[in-house]
Amino acid sequence: MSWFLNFVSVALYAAFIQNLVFNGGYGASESIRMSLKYGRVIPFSLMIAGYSTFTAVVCRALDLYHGINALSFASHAAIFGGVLAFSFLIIAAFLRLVFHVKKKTLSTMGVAALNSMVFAIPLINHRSGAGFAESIGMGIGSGVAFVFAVLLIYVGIEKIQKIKNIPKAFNGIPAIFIYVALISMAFSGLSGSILFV
Amino acid sequence: MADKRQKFSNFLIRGVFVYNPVLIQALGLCLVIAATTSLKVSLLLSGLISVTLIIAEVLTASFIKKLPNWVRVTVYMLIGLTVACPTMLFLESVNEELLTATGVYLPLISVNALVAVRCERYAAKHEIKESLFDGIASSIGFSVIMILTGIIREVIGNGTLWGKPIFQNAKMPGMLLPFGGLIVLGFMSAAVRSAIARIFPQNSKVIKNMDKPIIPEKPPETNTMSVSPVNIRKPIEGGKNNVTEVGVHNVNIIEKFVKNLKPQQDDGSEGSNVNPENTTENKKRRDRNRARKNRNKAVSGKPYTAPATVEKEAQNISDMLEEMDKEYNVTAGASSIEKEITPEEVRDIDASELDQKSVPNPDVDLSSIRIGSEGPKSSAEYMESFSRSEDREDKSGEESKPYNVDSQFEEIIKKYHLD
Repeated sequence: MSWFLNFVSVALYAAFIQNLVFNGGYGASESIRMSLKYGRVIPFSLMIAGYSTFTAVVCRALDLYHGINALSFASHAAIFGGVLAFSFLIIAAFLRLVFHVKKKTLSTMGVAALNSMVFAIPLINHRSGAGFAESIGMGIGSGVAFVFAVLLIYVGIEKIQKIKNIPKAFNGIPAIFIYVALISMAFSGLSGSILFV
Repeated sequence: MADKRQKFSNFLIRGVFVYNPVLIQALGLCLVIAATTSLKVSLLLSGLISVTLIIAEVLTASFIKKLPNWVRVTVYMLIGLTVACPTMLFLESVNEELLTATGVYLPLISVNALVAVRCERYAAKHEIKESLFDGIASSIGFSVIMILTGIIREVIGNGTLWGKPIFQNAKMPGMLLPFGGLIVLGFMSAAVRSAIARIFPQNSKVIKNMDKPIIPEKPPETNTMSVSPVNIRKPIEGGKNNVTEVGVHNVNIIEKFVKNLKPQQDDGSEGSNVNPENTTENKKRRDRNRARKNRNKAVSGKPYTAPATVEKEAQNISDMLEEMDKEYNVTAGASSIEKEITPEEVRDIDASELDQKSVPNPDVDLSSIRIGSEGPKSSAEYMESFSRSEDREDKSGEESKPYNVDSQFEEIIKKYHLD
């Protein structure tokens, strides 16, 4: 029961309370770009959740070995990065050879697998000393956080486009940046961070 | 040299200003909004990103672009790890505070979107030199934004610069959070876009194809000065035509010289240019090619359709043969007579007993006419036998010229390659 509660609490924390995109900046580029291609957000988020969960579990399992656990943070980063890269290569090669998946789909998978959010999950788990339940929760929570961020950004872009009083200089990317900044400020206040003295 | 400088400046303006990777393309936002909390961290991360990007673009342009794109993405990550991990090991031994200040963001330079996007969009499609220029320009553009953001956030958020306090009374800790970075980026992006609209109005809209030159190339000169200079050797005065001087002359002079070479007609108008296609050699070549095509069509099994002129000639020949057959009462496929008929027998034959059409001329040497089981003869054989009988008729006195009946046929056969 505690295993399940740990898993749920970490997932909710990563998705809503301290949203990894708005509070940590992880995957901010991908979320803004994906909000412009809204139709692919669900499969993209599933890929992110899948890869981050798989990498988090494997890296947590490697951390059980004393020899690896005693290494420095730089060595851990190298090992975790290698696990992520080769797991993507193996999965992509399997899909290409067995199921003849299209190259375009594989390139989208590459973007989903090798981005800052997926690579940050095992590093955060290592630094925080998370267990298996927390690792899986963080992985799934990252996918939910990504979907949530893209939804909010997409709704904001639609509303911004309808506004006609925006100055020319702020039209487009600058308006999106400021809109995302305001949402991030809201999430930072929700998590209890000090914004102003 | 001037062209090379202008080309690199073109890349610089594109990478730093017009197509800035952070403010215009929204790449690498994770590091800019989350990690640029101080100037030291900004300098360190921007330096590492620049090295990673330049190495990745050069290697991609040289050989990585030959790999499938889903494998290339992994290679970019491994290149980033080979830059980040030794740096982290070095900082662990030299300056552990700086490494702690970077947090988990230093290893994340290996999965930075800037490296993957620039390598895929540009380096994979261009040469090494251009990719190097693009890598340098994009890394400068990225570093400038990171450093500026780091300065603003450290000053406003912490009241310090390079760790040294500037003013501690008014500081806003919220600027050190990601939202502070996004606010700074928003205003910087607006400033850059308004500057681009004033300086480069043709690039004020986002152009998908970023390979177009920012500084428009100079249009070709339309004056009479030579576009492609031609070297003409000038002879020395008062001596042999030994060449000692080379000059560059106007192309128009040469054009006039060539025009003057054209033949003029009697009416004084300038002679038309001889169309090289109308020479006899080209005509012969065309005829040969046409004949070859026709033969190839016949050989390839496709139904042969003779050209109109050949069909006409064939019709003329068949008409002539029919007339000849009528005249000499010989039909191809006529029923064969089993025994030879002698001239005496022919005289004795009652004309009413024979078919009027098939009565031979008694004066004709029948030995030359083979009537029997051999079947129908070809038209040429008929004509040959006729010419022989004609010759025998004329043996009595006059020397008659041999009637060259088949000369016309020979010409036709040769002309249309019917043999």
